[in-house]
Amino acid sequence: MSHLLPQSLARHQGPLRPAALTLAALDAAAGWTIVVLLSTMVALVSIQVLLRYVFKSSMGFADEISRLTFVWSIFLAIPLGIRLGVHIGMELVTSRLPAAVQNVLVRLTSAIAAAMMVLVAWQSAVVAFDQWDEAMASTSASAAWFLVAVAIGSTHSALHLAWIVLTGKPTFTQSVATE
Amino acid sequence: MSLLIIFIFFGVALLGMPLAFSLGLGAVAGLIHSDVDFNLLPTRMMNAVNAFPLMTIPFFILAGELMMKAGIMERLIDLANSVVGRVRGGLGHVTMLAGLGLSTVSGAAVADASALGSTLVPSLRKVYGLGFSAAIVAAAANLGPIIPPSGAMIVYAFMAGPTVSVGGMFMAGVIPGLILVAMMMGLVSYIAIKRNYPLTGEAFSWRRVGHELKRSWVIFLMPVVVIGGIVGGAFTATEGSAIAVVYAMAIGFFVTRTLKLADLPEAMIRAAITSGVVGAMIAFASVVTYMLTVDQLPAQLTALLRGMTQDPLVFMLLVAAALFVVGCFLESNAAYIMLVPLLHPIALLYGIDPLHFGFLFVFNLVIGMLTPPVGVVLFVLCGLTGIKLGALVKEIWPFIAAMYGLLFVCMFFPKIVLWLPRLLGY
Repeated sequence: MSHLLPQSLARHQGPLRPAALTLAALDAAAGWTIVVLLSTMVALVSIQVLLRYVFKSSMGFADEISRLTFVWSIFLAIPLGIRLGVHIGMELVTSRLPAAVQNVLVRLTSAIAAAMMVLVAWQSAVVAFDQWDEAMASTSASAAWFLVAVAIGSTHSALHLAWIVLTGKPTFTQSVATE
Repeated sequence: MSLLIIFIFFGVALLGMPLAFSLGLGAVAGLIHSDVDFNLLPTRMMNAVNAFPLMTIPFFILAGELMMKAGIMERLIDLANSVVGRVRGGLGHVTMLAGLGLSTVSGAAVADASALGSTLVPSLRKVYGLGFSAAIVAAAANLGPIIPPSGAMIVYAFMAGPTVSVGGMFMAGVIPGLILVAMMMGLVSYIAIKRNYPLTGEAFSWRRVGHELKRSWVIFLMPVVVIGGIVGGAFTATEGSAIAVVYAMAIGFFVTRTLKLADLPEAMIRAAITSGVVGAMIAFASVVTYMLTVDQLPAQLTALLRGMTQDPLVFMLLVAAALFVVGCFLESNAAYIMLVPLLHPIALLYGIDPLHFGFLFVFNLVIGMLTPPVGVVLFVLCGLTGIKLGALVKEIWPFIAAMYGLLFVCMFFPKIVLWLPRLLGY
């Protein structure tokens, strides 16, 4: 995983080192959680096919739990995408500006995005708290677990965006492999 | 309110904010303006990605990654070499056929460009020079989202809703994709003869083809099982994509034996991050789409377009022109997520077949990945080979022209797109 998530944060020196180490630890935790979630998704969905065709049965919870793990994997991956600078953006205007102006814009847009992610995280937590007693359709677990993923992912994203505001590290580039 | 959302979105996006967060900010502005509770934000975001069909995105990416790690590129290139034999432009044909083979297991042009570029450009450039080599690879890589499985078609089908099935979209791309391969191989031959490039490769022999087919049949069994299973109704697209992951692991661990357990975490995180990028846009765009719908923008847009023309063909030409412009400035996934919910319902009102419109929409934006300034496939090749964007564009324009030619042929002759899906009951 160290190959995928560069160790620049863990090697950061200076007054922000504790924050850098905290972010690096959060990223590692998110990364390993994603591995578990994705493995669970693959296992649940493929076992469901196997059960249907070989044993003529099915797991009632497979659909809902695989969706839950998918929602979690998406929201945990969003902050890792910020760290790697792979979220898609338009550089048509900014790439033509002087480096100093680019740096100011990166900090400014990151600050606005961070504030928005804090709002999303707070609202997710509020709604999750309100819905805590609602159970999922196929298990007795709370349906609010779906929203907990949004809250955690948004908080983690806000921290990464705040890191960019503090360090001015421009990480926004255009590159995505789904196309 | 719609204007405010659009203004804020474009304003911050042009300042460099990633599109997902720009959409989010536009949505927040819309919520404030219309005095809607902020609770809407997380619930709509979560519901937008809480979708079983969307799981195909990480699964197909993961399957493609694992197949690469399983060492399929070398086998694909050997097979393509044996099929092409010793002809002028032979290496170019090998690249096109390897691109075709790769596109049956990977649905992404960027990943294909990276895989094809790193393995084939070193040999190609010795014969054709860097510019033409990079252009051939870029054109071949663009087959990724056209031939099934296709990440772009999955996103399109999801954004279009129940009127478009992933299986139907996959099948819509098969015949045009094969025609495109033939056209691009013809183009390679023409340029190779015109520029007097030397003959390359070994003489064709059935024995060699048979030997290479024996080595690579396991690769092609994957699309047969997975796409065949989806189209045949044996399983859903999501189930098929999960089976693709299991199949790729089996190939890597037990057939080629080049895949290691230690490779799995990195491949999984990479697949999740790429899905997270798309997921973030889908999540925030769902709030924007809701706000725009409340403000009746889709209805206003429909009335405007219907006032301009009643002819479906003119509408499709207008959309093609708009997507040409959009493709020059906006990354294609962002375009699907933002524009499909607006334009797809209008196309249905014009009586256009949803699969026909969907294929044209995807193909248009796929071509956009080869056009500057936001041609992501060009960027990948520039990064891989060190070629200047201008030099690459100079060599790639014949391929772009061929693709646009095919796009218009498909627009005027829908049967090219719809024959196979109809045959299979879509």
